[in-house]
Amino acid sequence: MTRPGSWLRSLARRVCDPSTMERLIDPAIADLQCEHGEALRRGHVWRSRWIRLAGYIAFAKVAVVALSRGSTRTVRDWAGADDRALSRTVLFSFIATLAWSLVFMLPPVWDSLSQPALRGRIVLWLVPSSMSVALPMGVVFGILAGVRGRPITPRVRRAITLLTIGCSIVMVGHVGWILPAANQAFRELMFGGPLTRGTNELRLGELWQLAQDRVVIPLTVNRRAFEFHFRLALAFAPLALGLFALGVAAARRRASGVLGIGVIAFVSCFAYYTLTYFARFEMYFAPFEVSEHVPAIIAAWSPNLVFLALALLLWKTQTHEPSAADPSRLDDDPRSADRPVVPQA
Amino acid sequence: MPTASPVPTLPPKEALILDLLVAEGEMYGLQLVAASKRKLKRGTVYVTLGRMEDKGFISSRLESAPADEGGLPRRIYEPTAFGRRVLSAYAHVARRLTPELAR
Repeated sequence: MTRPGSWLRSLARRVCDPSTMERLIDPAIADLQCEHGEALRRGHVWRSRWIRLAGYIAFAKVAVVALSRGSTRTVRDWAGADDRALSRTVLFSFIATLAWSLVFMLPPVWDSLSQPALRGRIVLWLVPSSMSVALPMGVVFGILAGVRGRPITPRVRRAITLLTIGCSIVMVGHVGWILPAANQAFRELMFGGPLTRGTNELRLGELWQLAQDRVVIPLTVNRRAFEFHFRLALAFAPLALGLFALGVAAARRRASGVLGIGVIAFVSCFAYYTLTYFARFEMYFAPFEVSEHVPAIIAAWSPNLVFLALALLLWKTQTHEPSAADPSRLDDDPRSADRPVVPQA
Repeated sequence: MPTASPVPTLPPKEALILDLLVAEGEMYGLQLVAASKRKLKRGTVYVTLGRMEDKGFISSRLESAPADEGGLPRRIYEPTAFGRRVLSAYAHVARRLTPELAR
């Protein structure tokens, strides 16, 4: 029979350092096992079950304290350079997202100068629509700037991938609910009264309902399904563009200058949104009559698929060059942050 | 100018643990929880004991489990001489400051 806490202990050994195991985890598990065994020897089955439950709760408390103190092997082994790369990525992504939001909002805000009473609400309702494009672009800029000149270790790669997934999850909520509501509020504000909602003002659930509706409306069935999948695919732009940017950064042999980063990021985003525009244009105007033959889901997700495929290709084609500054080595020396680890040409 | 060593602090829970250990000699973590009448909790007692060991108030050693029982060896705690002095000093200060409590 497995002793209580054995599985928890083996799990803790994977993340906690030896000192934490010796001083916090093992004493808690040892006491639990001893008390549990004592209760079973006396025939107190229900007491042994209570002891097991109480012991698990105690273990959870100990584990939370250990994790919050940074006593885990994962945190201790996290190299200083990795931490700086991730911090820079997050910081530059935030700054770039903010900057692009302001850029996209500038023209309509400028136009609203003639309506000072509405300016505040115009800005408020424009923020979500500018964010829907600014966030993916900000992520691209942030990744390229954040990992510039630094080795992309597996830890950094995992952390940035998780970051892009997190941004995409946030975007699903944004484009699914916040953006349609903001669009409708903006339209009604400019019109000065209630308006019937168009497809851009429908929530994700309503778009799905529209795609299932068999009532004949001006849009074809394929186009209705396209609207739903297109909205969802846009939410995953941070993931597709972010992984592509990570692949570009990893494949480059030398650090790009600021201008180079800007050009790469801008071209990437321009190419992505050109693909989305083309997919939408083809679906609605069908110059190549593709819309009748290509499933809506493929057409809508094609820009994401293209960029994910490119990211995969970049990861596969980059070669690993072992050197004295091998990224898999631990390196907590703060001076190493500025030392070029990739041989400069 | 040489700086004075910082005066060790003794929070209430640590004082309770030291009190129990000085009275009993040496105890396991769960024995301390049982003896404290629920003032100490099962999970956090180990964190407190680890902190007290860092401060030098207590020491610990591993005790092998009996051969027929198996399982992990248990850690048993006992007060150090420094810990006994700290407890004694705090008790003395408490008695001087609150004479009515000492009655």
